[in-house]
Amino acid sequence: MADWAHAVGEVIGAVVPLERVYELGVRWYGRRLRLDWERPDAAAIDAIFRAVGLTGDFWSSS
Amino acid sequence: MDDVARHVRHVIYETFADESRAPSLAECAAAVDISEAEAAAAWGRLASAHEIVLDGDAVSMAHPFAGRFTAHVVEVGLRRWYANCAWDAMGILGLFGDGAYRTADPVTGVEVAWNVEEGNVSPKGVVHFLVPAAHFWDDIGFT
Repeated sequence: MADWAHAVGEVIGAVVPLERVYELGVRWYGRRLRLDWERPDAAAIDAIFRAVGLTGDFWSSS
Repeated sequence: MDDVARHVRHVIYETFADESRAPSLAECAAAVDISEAEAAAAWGRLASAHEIVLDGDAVSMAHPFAGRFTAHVVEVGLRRWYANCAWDAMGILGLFGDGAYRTADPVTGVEVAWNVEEGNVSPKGVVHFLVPAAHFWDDIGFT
């Protein structure tokens, strides 16, 4: 990760295990194909992040 | 979200899900039985609501799907989709079941791949999120 950050001149943000990203993907997109899907508000977005263990300022949506 | 835009959005997602591509404006209009001008207006409202991303006269993103070639490829059986990022790739696998996620190592460019089987991801890997959640939509292409 440090090599990548150095190579592209970017700071490191949040590093998340892929299995946790899969859990996030399931929760985030699980209803997306439904006609009645509603875009979640900030509180609902934060709740999804918390449910998969993503906490702290980086994961605050507002 | 108004009813017309909701149905247009549904056509976009169904087309990505079933055909691994974005529908055209004409296809959206025909499917919802509205004029192309009305469909274009619905696309505009969906884009303003951050529900799709447009690139000229095409749907570039309807998360998790990408309407263009990307480095994030998802394969489920013989089906294949392009995702916008690793998060979206995992989302597509969550929607359609066991499969593979292929991309390029951001440093070396070498292809790397992961498999998802019954919700288990292998081999181990990490995803780097550069942009904080509050700023995801400042530049969604970069995010």
